Parts: sequence; structure tokens; C-alpha cells
Amino acid sequence: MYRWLNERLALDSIRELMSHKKVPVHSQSIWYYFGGITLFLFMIQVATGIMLLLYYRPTPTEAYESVQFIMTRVQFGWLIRSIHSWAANLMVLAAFIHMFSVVFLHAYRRPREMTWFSGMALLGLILAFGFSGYLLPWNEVSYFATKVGTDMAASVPAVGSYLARFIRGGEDIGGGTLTRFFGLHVAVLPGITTVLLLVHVVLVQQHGISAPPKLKRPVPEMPFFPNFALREMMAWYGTLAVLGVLAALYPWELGVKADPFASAPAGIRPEWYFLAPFYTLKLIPAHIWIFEGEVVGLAGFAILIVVWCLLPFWGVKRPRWVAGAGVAFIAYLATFSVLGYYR
Amino acid sequence: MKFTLAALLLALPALGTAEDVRVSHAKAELKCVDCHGSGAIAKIKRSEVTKTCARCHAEQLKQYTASVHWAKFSKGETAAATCLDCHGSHETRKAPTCESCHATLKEMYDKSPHAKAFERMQLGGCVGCHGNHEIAVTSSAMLAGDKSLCADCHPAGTGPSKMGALLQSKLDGLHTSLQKSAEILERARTVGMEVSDSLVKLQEANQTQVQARVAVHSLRVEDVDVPVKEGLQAAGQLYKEGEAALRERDKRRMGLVVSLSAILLTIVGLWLRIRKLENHS
Repeated sequence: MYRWLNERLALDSIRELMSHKKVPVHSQSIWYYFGGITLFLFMIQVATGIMLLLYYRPTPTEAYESVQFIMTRVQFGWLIRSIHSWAANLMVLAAFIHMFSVVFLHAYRRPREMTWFSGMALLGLILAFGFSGYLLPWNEVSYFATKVGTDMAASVPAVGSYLARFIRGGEDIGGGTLTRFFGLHVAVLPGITTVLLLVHVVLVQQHGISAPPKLKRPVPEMPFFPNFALREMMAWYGTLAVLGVLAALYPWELGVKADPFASAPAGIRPEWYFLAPFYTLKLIPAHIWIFEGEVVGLAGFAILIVVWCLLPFWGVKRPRWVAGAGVAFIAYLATFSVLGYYR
Repeated sequence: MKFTLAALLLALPALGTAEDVRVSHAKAELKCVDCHGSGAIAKIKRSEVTKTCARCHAEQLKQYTASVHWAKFSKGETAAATCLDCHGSHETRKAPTCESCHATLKEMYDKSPHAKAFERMQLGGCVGCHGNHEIAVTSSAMLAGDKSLCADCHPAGTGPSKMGALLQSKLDGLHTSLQKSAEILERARTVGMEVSDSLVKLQEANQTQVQARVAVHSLRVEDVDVPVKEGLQAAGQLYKEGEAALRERDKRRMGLVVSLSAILLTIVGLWLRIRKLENHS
């Protein structure tokens, strides 16, 4: 059988290529697994997302009911939906851990700049997946959280109102927004993500896995295949176990159907990964000098994101600055997310 | 509040016609400004009505603030009755007007033997049992037992007293069944089961409880039996749905244990494979 396949698919050359790939072995090697875990969770999202697509209907009159149908009538529908929701959250967490591990291990150095850029773009896409998917069940919380989110876009100077109208597909959140977000979530984003993911993986393959610069050379290594691949598989199974526990013991709630004519419920807030910027914008005063506070806040975030993305250009010669910035970034995210949740 | 017949009888001489009241406001030389204030005559806000009337009727306000009407009004249910809804505004009257909001209750009451008896004895209809300003939250305890209102006129062991106890048992039976269904559904909801459809059905089933309480006013068992039977049937079905949701929860947990065992075994297998591989090399 192998011989038959090998003759047609040149499996030996792939094996040969993989046998040359090595993974550095050191005390921080555990962080290498998070890129693979993010990939695994993305694959779960694709698989469960396709299953949900069979029953989901993207209209304001049917969206909520179709999700309710999936959860109550479809065999294992509750599990698929719950895994999809939990895996989305775990994927964001894994992607952030992967990004910070790259920062602290200084793996963004030459010649891996493009790997870093593609990774940052993938993180942005993962967040876009979260934002667009959050509205799809059309429940009260998701409806008003999306309203708050798109209102932020409206405050961008000059193009804000056009931008908000473009995102919403109208003046307010409605059927147009739902179909737009649905199209984005199931077609546009997966398409771009798949291409970018391939680029990212090819770049990792091309440049190999980076060892921290402070380690004494030569750094001990293990073969990627099968040694690291088997360990990665263990990590994937561990992730699957965590996902199973979360989905079975804490099934993702559906909540109350969105009513556009009702007033927003008290304490409305976005998903946990948007809490820190959300709370920061809440703290900024309405006006700073001659500018609107929200505009200043958004401009500040935009500058910080650009500076962070350009890390390979300013961080290589300043590893201590990078480590400090990484710690400060984590402290900011943790503190403001907790404050945003409880206030 | 237990509104005794004696208290009602004492209050009766104070009741008068609408004409009497208009005269009494006129006699007291009440002018527009006394209620509406001087300066720009403003419409009195609904939320300010009780305060305005209480300038002269402090005692009635005290009774009203102990009532179910005030309990609802003060919580923002501004449709709940306040002074003007029973007494009118400029056409001030004293005649009880409960039926303007509680029409179905009045319909049931008119079918009951109480209607004629209360009229004959001049007990004043609804106020005969419920009082006027100080209308308490109703409960099945008003029908039998220590807090029974029936006992004021019907001694224990008499036919009407037994009827009160029978109606009470029907209402309580329905209440208990609905309560049990609500509890099991809430348990299922808190463990993450999707029971929102059942919770909507429970809200509908709770309406039968209201209908049964209304039907009690006809004092006819057959009238009460209709919503009670419907409610009990719905409650039974909802309880089964709650049980099914909890059984499904248990099944899921069992499935989780099996899956976790399989995953753990695979992880152990992978680990052994890695060890074997690395020991060889």
C-alpha cells in the first residue's frame, strides 16, 4: 500500500524533508507547542463550523431559532456548538501565548521577520473571526456588544460614518449586518486565513524553529519527525481533553433572543479578549484638548499596534526593551481585562 | 391583611355617593391651586398623584402604601391602581370601581352566590373581602385555615367552609406542581442545558394559576377545574422535560468520562512510543 502511494505521491521525498527538520531542545521548549495547538484549534473550528453551517440560518428572524434547534434537536448539536464556541476562545488564548512566546524567545529576529508579520496578521484574523462570529447567534448580549463595537468604528475621524455603515450594512445593526458578518465569518476570513496560514507554515519550515539567542551554541536538537510531532500530538490530545471538559460541563449558553427595540441590558461588555481596549476607552475622558477622547484612544491603539508589529525592526538590538514591553503588555491585558469584567 | 366584616360594617356609614364627595371637596372650599399649585397650572404627574391627595388624606395614603397596588406602583409598574383610577380626578367619586381593571374577576363574582348576598347585606362587593385602600396580596390562605376570610361569615364545618378548603387544595396543588416544574427546569438551566423553550411554556402554564385564582370568585368547582386541569397537565409535561434534561446531562457526563479515558490512554500510548523511540536512539 505504502509503495503504491509512494510511487504516486513521492512520500519518500516528504519524509526525507521532514527528517532534516530539527527542533531546539532547552528549558523553554514547551512554548514551541502553542503554534501547533493554535493550528489544531483552527482545524477544529473549520470542522465544527462546517457542521453548524448545515443548520444555521443567517437572518434576524431565524438565526436564534436555528441555533436553538441545533442545541436541542440535532444529534450532538449541543456538543458541536459548544466545542465551536469554546475552541474559538481557546484559539485566541493559544494565539496570544504563541505570540508572547515568540516575543520572549526573541524568535522574530532576521530572517524570520515575514514569519512574525504573517503571524500578527493571523492573530488579527483570529480576533476578526471572534468579532464576526459573536453576533451570529443573534442573542441579546451579542447584539448589543456588536452595537458597541461598531459604534467605535463610527468615531474614526472623516471616514467613521462610512466605515460603520460599511461594517453594519446599514445605519444600524440588523439583517444586513448579520448576513455581512456571516459571509465574512464563513467565507472571506477562512479563505484569507488558510492562505496566510500556509505562508506562515512554509516560512516556519523554510527558516526552521528559532532557539533563544542567549543559549550556548550548538543548541541540542531533536528530530521534528517523529519525536517532536509525537509530542505535539500529545499536546493536541491534551487540548482536546480540555475542550471536551469545557464543552460537556459548561455548555455554551444561548441566552435571550436579541430584541432591537429593547434597551441594552445593564453591564453589556464584549468578549474577554476585547475587554482591555474596551475598558481603556471607557476610562478616557470625553474630550482631550480639542479632540474627542474615543478618537484619541483609537489613534493610540493604532500606533501601539503598528509599533508592536514592527518589533523585528526595533527590537533586535534591544532585547531587554522587548522583554519589558512584553511584560507590560501582558500586565496591561490582564489588569484591564479583569477591571473591565468587574466594573 | 385580614379585613374583617366588623371593620367593614364600621366603615360603611362613611361611604357616600359621587355627588356627596364632590360636595365634600366643595364644602372644604378646595380650589384648583390646592392640588395644581399656584403659578403655571401644571398637569399632576401620575407619580405625584398620591402625594397630592395625601395632603388631605394622609390616613388613606398610609393604608394605600401597605397595599398590593402600591407595591407594584412603587416598583415602576405605573399601570397599577393609584388614587385617580378608583376615585377619578375632578369628578371625584367614592364608588368602588375594581371592575374597570378586574373585569373578569367581576364577571366570576357576579356568577357566585356572594353577589346577591353581598348586595342584600350591603357589603360592597369586592371590598367585602379585599378591603379598599389596603388591598393585600391575595393567596389561597384566604380560602381556608387560620387566615381564612370565609371563616368571618362561614363557621368551620359548614358547606361554604368546606368549599373554601376544596378550592384552596386545588389552587395549592396547582401551585406546588408548577413550582416543582420551575425548580427542576431551573436546575437544568443552571447546569447549562438548553431549556428555554420549556421555560417559555412554563410562563404560559403559570397563566393557568392566574385563571384558576380568578375562577375561584365564581365559587363553582367546575370553573376552577378547567384551568387547574390544564395547568396540572402542563406542569407534569414540563417536569418530565426537566427530568429529561437532567438525564441528558448525566449522559453527557458519562460520555465525557469515556472520552477522557480514551484520550488519556492515547496520550499514555504516545508517551510510551516516544520513550521507546528515544531509548533506541
